[in-house]
Amino acid sequence: MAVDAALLEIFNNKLAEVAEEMGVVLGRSGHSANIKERKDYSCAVFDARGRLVAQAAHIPVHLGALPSSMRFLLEWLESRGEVLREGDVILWNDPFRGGTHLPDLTMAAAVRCEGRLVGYVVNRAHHADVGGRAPGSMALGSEVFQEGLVIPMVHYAREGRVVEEVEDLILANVRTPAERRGDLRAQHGSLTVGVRRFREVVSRHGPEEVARFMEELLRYAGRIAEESLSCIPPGTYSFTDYLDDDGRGEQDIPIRVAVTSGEGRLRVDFSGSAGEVRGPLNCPRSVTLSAVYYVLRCLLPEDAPFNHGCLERVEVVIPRPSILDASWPRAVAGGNVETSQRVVDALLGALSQALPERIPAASYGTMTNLAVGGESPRPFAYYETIAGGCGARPDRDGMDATHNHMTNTMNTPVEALEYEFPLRVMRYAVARGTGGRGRFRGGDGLERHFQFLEAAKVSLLAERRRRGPYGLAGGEPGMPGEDHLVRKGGERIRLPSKVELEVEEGEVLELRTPGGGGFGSP
Amino acid sequence: MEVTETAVGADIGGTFTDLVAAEGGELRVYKLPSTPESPEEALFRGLQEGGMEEASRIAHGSTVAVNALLERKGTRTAFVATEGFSDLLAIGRQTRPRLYDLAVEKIAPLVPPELCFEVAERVSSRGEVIVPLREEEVEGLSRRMEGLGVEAVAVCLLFSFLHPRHEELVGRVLSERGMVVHLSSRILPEYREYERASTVVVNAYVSGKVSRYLSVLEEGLSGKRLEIMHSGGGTMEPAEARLIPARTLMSGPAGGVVATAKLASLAGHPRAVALDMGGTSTDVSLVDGGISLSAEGSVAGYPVRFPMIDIHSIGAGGGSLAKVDRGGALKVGPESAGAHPGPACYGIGRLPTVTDAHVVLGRLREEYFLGGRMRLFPGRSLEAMRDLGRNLGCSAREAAAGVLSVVLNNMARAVRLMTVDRGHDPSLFTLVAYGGAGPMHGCELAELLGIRRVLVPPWPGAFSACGLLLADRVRDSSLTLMLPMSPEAMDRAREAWGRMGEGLPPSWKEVEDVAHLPAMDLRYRGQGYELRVEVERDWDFRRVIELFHRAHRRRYGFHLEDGEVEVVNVRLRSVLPSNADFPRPTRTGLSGKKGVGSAKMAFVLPDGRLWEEECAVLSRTWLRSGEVFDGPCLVCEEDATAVVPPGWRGRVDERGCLLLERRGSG
Repeated sequence: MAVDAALLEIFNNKLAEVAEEMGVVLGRSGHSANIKERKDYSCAVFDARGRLVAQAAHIPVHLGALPSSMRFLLEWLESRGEVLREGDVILWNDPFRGGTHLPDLTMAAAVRCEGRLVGYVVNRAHHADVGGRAPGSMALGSEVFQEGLVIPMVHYAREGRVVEEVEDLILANVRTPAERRGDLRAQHGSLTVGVRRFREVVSRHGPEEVARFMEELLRYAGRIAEESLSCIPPGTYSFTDYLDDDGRGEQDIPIRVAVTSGEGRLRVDFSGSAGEVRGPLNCPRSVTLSAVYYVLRCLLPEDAPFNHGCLERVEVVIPRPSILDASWPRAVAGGNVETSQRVVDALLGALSQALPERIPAASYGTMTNLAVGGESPRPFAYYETIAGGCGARPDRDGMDATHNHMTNTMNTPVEALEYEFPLRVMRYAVARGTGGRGRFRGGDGLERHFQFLEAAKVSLLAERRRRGPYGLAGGEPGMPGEDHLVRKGGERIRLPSKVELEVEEGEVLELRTPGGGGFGSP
Repeated sequence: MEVTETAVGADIGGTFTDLVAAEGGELRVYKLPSTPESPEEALFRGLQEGGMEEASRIAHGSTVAVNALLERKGTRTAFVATEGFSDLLAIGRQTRPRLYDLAVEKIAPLVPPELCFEVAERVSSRGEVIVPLREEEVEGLSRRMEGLGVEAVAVCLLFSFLHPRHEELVGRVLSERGMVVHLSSRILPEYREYERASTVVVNAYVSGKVSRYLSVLEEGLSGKRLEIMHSGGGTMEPAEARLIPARTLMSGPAGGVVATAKLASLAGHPRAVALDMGGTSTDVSLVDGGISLSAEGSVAGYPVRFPMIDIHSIGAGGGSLAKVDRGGALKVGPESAGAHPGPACYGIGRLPTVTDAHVVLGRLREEYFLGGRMRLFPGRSLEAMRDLGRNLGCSAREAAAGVLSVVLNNMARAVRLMTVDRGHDPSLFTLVAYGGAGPMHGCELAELLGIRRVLVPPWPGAFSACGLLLADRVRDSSLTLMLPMSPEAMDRAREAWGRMGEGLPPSWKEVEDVAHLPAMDLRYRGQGYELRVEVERDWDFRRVIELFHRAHRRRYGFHLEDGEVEVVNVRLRSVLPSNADFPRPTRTGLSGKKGVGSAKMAFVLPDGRLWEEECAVLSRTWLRSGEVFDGPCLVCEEDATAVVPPGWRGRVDERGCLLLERRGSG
């Protein structure tokens, strides 16, 4: 029926709009730059059974996290024999219950219409600090406790009223409580808008119609996913890539995947990947799922709806415990920002055997997380990730100096940075010649050199400093990154990929991120 | 007292060139096909054929700059940066434009790598010289540029807005060697090096085409005063347009928003949504007391940070194609049949479009289409919709209704995001619907948004040209200060405003009624974005802070009572008000009576159901002001048709606008 095809499109848009509008409200009312500028948040709509219907994700690393979180929420509610009433909001960040890393806080609320449960709205935002050993809650630790406050599922609001004791407990454990409170309230406000907009859709079309079309939307997405996945020749494709080290002595950490394709479905099996590590590179399961769903989404047409209908076409097997499904209380801060990139590299490496005409060589594969803190001229904390060279494609070069895969956050302008912090950027340039050679060239990495105008503490969390991103079809690997500290006397020291240092005024930190892999014989 | 002059607004678009003249308060319109190869031809010919040769003032909206950028046929430009930073354009903000596309490409810089240069120099964030720029260094630079075919040079050195001397030295030395130089410290003295560099490069890149075009116009229009519309919703003289040609990039869509703002305030509805729906796209912009400006604009993916009218554009137009996707959903747009082959009913193409849906539903009548000057083939529409229906398992009419509800919902989403994102409730706004396809969708779109009032201006298809006619002369200046808000910061701001006022072109100084509107971009310390607040020159700093708190609360839902406030930029908007009055339409009708017939047509109700009814067809040109009519009906005029659904009542106001209101709205 025509009306159905049109209504399908309209419902698809309306539910996407609910998620999108929640995102707009959150972005508009959030306090921290992370939320406002870097758009490090996502919002989603689920049906009454907790299946993802629509998601507005600005950042790929949240893709798998919201569905996982929802599943844990339903389990939790069931185990307590509790239902969410109107105005109840649950808050948590526990990485072992669908969280990603501690700074990502999730909030969820039920949507009821005339007493009847019609669905859920959920959002998640990266908060600038949730306590722990290091400002920004991204410590190079060995246990989750060093990384910040772990929040299990708690009522942030009951029947529309914020539970102040809970909020107070959180605020007492973070470095910038006023900002946190603002961001929490913004998340709450975004949920309220989500509930209202979802209800408007229900009151216009009736709960049965809405339920029917949510079901239709899952099938619709499933059909598109099935068709797209059917293009992958049946078979099993395996690939292993490696993390350099965990910063605590363990080296060449394997991430292994076997992708089996057939009948418009995928089975993704990570058996053979490394066990848990002592350093902070462990992933909660949800982060690994995010990387899988990111790759899935890259295989779908650009405007395809992304919901439970596509997710259920992928079966994911992750050994537990392992670096890809860590157990309590492992450190997980870097799983999100580093390991997730390597999971993508491994997945694409496997798929390249099936789809050699579509899959690019490996990109720079690290976010090169730099945090600088100091006390003078006044206390400051600067955090930034640095892009690199992207992998060459089967039909064209890789992009130079651009963020790829699990992240897409903007740089801090040099002039903004120098106004704000006692730092001077000496060089910000494409690292020519670092892309892997090939018929198509891997993208070049980035060079960013900082001079410290005051003494400071520096922490660097990076990867691909020993093993370059792989090339494909005879293309050469990209050059690994290299970082140096130029000491006051002129001595130039090569830095390890994961390091905490104290620097003096006048010293210079030189970062160079990896180039992308090449494609085809040079 | 000024003698009444005849002014012409000339909007040259991709398909049509619209000329609008106001003579003694009466509106005349002449439309002719554009001549994209040399756009001035249609303009000159239109003035002649339309009997507008006597005009003393031509206000012009042009697509020359934007086309040069889109087609990448601009001036061969070199870029000069501080040592260590010549890759600024290639790096950009280190992001990719699409998240889930393995074949994604970053936008290619307008300057090839071999034309990016560095000079040894450095200025600190306090404006102190760390590494002085030596003249020999620049001479070396000029030698390196020789033989490379450089036609223009864009210069962007770090912190040049604090210490412009280094850029000026580059400018002086290179100009002496015959090069055309664009300095970032002159055209956009604001912080954020990539956006400033991009702006000055785009400026240099479009400069050749714009300046040649202006010369041709000036020659052909000798004796007439020429004004060029800029992206900020005002006009400028050709001399200024030559210096900052990048300001003409959004010249086209700006006209309609200016007209909306003027009309909305005259009609007593200061809060309006401008909805410009044409053949391929719909532009949405908010008017809240005045036009909304954004300093975060980009054109064709390149940041251009002059204040620009805040417009959100989506791929929904009369020519948008309808198709069933692989999963079985009905999609409309963003692909469009454009002007060629156009909708199936034009008789050339066969694919179903939004316009064909209207034809099938009886809402677009052959006999009134473009005043009967262009033939319509309703049979083709029916065929196209029947094909679509076959894919969907339904009738042509049901398919058409589906197409219409999908496109309306797409537009509603655009309007909602535009309003909600800026902290507004769309239902409190009046929808001003124009462009060839706007009036056909206005009321049904309003229903979806809870909007109760729709205004359809006369000649909706030429409304943008009308805006050109009405636009004020506007000049924007800015400067980054980056200071904590304090009495001293206010002194510095006043100093800057003073200099900006003195920097106006000589022709402005002879006029007395120039209004200077100072504003400040403020933020709480630590924030990465700023908010513009309009202030007055003699205000105490505490008053500005108070106003900022309020603006912040309104836009972002909170403020920080004890947050430290920083002045990021100071701005001055200088306005020379236009004395043009909103012109009244003259009567050149389709027939001698206001009711020209009746027809069976269909409406899509907000829940998606189809409603069919025999309705009146009215001729707009014969509706007198004050006249009232009830929906459902069609109001036809030469360049558009307004659809008035059941439950709506229309009235013609004293300016000839159709004011359509939901009944029962009191």
